[in-house]
Amino acid sequence: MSNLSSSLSRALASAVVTAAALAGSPAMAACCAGAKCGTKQSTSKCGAKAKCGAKCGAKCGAKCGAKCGAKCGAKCGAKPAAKCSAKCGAATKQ
Amino acid sequence: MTASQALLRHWRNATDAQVVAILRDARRSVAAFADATAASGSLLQSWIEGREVVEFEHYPPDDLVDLRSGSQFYYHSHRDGELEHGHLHLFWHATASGRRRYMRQGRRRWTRTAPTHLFAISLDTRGLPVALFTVNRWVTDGHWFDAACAMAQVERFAMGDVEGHELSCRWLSGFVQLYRPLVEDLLVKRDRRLARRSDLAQALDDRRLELLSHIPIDWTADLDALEAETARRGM
Repeated sequence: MSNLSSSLSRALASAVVTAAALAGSPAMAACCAGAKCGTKQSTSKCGAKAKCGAKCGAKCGAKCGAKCGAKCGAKCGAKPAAKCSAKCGAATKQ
Repeated sequence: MTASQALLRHWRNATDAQVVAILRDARRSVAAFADATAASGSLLQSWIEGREVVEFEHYPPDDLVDLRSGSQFYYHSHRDGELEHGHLHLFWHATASGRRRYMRQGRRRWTRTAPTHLFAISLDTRGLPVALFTVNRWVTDGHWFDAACAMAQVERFAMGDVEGHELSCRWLSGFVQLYRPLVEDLLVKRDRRLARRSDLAQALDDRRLELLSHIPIDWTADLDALEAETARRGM
């Protein structure tokens, strides 16, 4: 066993075992179904997001996801952004 | 489990300087993990801070955010699984074109779009990372990027010392760097799965598609393999 893995094993041997999660509020899970694992800022607004997300997400996904995705891979440049924000309006505007 | 073959391949092809850097990240990460475990009981406890864990709740409650690097993460628990207690979601603050999105301290963070999700790390009940996975866009929102662009963001992911969470931030930054080759595989697998669908936009919003790629890891075995590689090189 190497130095690193023995340090890790020692740490794990002394680690506290955390109990399983208690059931959360069903309302939270249901209402935020569209953004249930987003960051804190987005989940807190999930009502508004769900509404606009449906439309923008679909449109933007098609144009940005496919087109800019390919371009981004190569350059991550500014061009696709201009295109995307113009077409997808509020959802992608910075 | 054994060490990841993808990592072994990557390390064998890396230069000596790269292996030294990887070893440095690994050491930093293990030391921070051990220190966090000694100080708080476990990595999980460093975020949970003795509270009861409730499904879907974020730990720490406001996420950990590094405004300088545009990196963000939080821990939560909600998936039934034998191995994981919960998982970390890692985000990067990106514009629609994949550039860095800057925010000011004290301002409302997200008004129109969410941060971009990079990948997630499953942790067991002791805080040991046991798997990496990606999720569909509807799960986390944010801009969607292909594997190459997302990988460029993963490479820039770094958590500076957030007050009160210095050790877990240090652990995560080192851990992400150590597992970069595997994260790349994970993102490529994610894209391949989506490429099988004819309509990407529909696929990204398809509630039936949640987990897009998943790779179990054995951190201990990977560390042994890394040290074996450095020994083979006479380092």
